[in-house]
Amino acid sequence: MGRLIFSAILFYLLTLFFTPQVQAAKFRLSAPSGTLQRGGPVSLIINIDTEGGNLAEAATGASYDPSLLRFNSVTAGNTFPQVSSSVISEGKIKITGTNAQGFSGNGIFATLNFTIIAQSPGSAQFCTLFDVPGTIEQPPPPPGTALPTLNLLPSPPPDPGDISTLCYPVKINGDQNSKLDLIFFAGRYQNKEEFLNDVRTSINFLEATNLPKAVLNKINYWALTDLSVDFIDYERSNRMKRIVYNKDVAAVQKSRCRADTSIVIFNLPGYSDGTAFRGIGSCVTRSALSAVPHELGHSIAFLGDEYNYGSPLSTDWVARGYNVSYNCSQEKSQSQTEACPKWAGLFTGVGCIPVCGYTNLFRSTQESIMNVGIRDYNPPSIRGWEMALQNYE
Amino acid sequence: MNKILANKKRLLLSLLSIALVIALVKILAKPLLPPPNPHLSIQVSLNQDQAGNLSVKNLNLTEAYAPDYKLNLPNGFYEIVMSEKLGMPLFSGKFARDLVLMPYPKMINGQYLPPEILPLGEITLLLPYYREAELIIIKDEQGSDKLTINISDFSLNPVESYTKYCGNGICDTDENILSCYSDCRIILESQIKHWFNK
Repeated sequence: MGRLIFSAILFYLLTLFFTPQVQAAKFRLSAPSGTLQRGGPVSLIINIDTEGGNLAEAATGASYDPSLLRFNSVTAGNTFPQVSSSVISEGKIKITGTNAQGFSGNGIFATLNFTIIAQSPGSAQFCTLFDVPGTIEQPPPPPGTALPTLNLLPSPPPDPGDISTLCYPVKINGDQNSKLDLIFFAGRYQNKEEFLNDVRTSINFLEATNLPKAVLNKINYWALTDLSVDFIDYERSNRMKRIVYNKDVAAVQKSRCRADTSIVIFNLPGYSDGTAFRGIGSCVTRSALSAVPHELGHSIAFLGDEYNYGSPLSTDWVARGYNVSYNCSQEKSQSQTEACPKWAGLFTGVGCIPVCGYTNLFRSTQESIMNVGIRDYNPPSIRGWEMALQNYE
Repeated sequence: MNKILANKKRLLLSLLSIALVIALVKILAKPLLPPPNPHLSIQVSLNQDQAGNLSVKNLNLTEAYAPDYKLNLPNGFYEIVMSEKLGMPLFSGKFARDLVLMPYPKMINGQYLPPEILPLGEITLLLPYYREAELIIIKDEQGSDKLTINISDFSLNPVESYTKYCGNGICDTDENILSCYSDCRIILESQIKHWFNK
């Protein structure tokens, strides 16, 4: 009897030891802004903060109103490359992310992609996060925190164009002579509607940032509906092999629609990646659509990364004429809360915080879309966009 | 009576003068040169060696839309100016000198990858086709000439264009709401929206 009890206790202890534990993390939901359309896509970003811990796996729950939304998919952010969802009950899903190398810090955990199915116009809160077993209890949102709210227009606008058109006008703000024409290319899609839906989601991500209307209105958005073109290419540097897009193919395809710049969306399930060629174009995988504003920040607005590369800026860059990006500063101020000399008197609410990509540069705000964590540009980055698009109307 | 006639004459002359001035202004304000062909582009392939010297590999006429090159690159660019024989600029813009790769924010062995400059040995440009274009001048960031191309040194074989453009989604400069409703209605709608939002 004693041996049996001992074996049971030993088995219990071993079970405790070997059962994979989903460790603690804090999650925060970012609300989309603006008015949404029935039948259109809406994406919600879940941010994660591991609070110093190094996690190989994390999970959270999300509840939504199934009479307003239809859940389509979950895509990985820049923290946990593998993300999956499972239905707990109607209107409740569990999102689990894994990172084989472990992740520590904060960033985008996942993006929930929904379709709006609400029948009547109005405004309603439609999604909240909740704790799932294995994670710490989610703190209640502080007073005054805006939960994602759905503001519906009475009726959807007419479809802007014919899907059989080669150059599909997704969102046109004016004459091509005076606008920056950004074209989306389909990388390995089989279905046009799926591709166009992802294009709309990408535009929603950009328009959900704090970029002023005056900047956003300078851009026309197009989609090339020819799915037969292969844009895939691989980086041929001495670093690890990774997917980029073929810029020569993109240049030829761009010229079919009188576009000025391009972005490729690759349909590569379970793979989160993206690349920007400064001033030329960019690409993202379907699982990383939330990174579109970040990549366009590089390719169109010439912004630098604000997360830590762990190394200083090489003098070779400066020697080749690449001055520091507008959102980074070489000179520091007296304190971190005082604007760097580069931005002094130009912006309010900016500081001079160590590390702006490179360890010897300074950034203006703790978080920004060019860093990881939030989806807004900081004031110098917005100015970078304005300067880049100054020749457009 | 004579005074009234003289006044009438003076009024008529004044009106004629005003009409003449308006006509002159209209003639002068009108572009002296026709707009570029919307469906043809001058394709220029440039070689760039490691020291940054440029040379022409190829120049020909092709059936394609040209981008506007109006993105305001702050550094790492070349400036391009196309002009006619009297030196009047027809077109100008900027293009990237290098291929600067900004990697996705993904940790590799606990580190984020920094950007890198990849060699851009060949640069292909699609420039608007003006029949009157004579020179293409490429300058560096400091405004010094890097390369001057005399277009007449190359034989621009005429392109027999059979492509049907109306219906491709693009409202071309030679199309309008009447000649190609399917392509141009989007532009008209955006303009109406713009005026209502004003």
